[in-house]
Amino acid sequence: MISGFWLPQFPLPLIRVGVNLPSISDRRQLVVMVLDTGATRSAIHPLDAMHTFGMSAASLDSAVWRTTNSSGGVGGKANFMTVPAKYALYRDDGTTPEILGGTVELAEMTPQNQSLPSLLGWDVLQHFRIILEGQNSVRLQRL
Amino acid sequence: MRGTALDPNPGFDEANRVQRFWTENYAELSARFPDRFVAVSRATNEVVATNKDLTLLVDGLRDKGFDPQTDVSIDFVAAGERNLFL
Repeated sequence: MISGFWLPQFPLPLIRVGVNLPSISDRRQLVVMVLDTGATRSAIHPLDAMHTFGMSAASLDSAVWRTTNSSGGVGGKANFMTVPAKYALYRDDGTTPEILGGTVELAEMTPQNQSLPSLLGWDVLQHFRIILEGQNSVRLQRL
Repeated sequence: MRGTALDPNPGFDEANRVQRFWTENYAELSARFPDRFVAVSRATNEVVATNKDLTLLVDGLRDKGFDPQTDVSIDFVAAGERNLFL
């Protein structure tokens, strides 16, 4: 079982994920992501891009990207760049983590999304049974 | 310090410690620095920079000699209840 958590100051189901972005950094960084059943794809927002992955603000400007995806959400449209990603989800018993390869959407920095958390969307969640019991329990189990 | 699948960066002990700090101090930080990004030294737990803009915060940290990726933890501290529609 892979457990997540809630924080009193941030009432959303959260989970720690080891994220490796090989085109950005050779480090696997531990990222706190929202378990977002409303997102089709996982996304890294600017706070994690700059703080956790050490990216510069200039590199989060879509003007310097080769390709850009425009995606819609309740907050409006935003630009993203798709980059390769590997996800590690850590089991409670400390045994070998679940590793998933794929991509992640890297968000262009805007005044509106600077403070948003990164999102774990259905591209990853579709591989798991999701168990939510109010704020008492957030768990994922590999299908 | 290089993270691997089995040993990510930061490690779980450090992540737990940082998370505990933010949870225990969030109310006080929210009162002092409402709606600002706050950077806290990982070594001393002292607030070393705040700003309403993330880019300016990170630039300011570098000017002060901090590595924003490894020397501090950064979070956005909302003035009140935080409602997100993701």
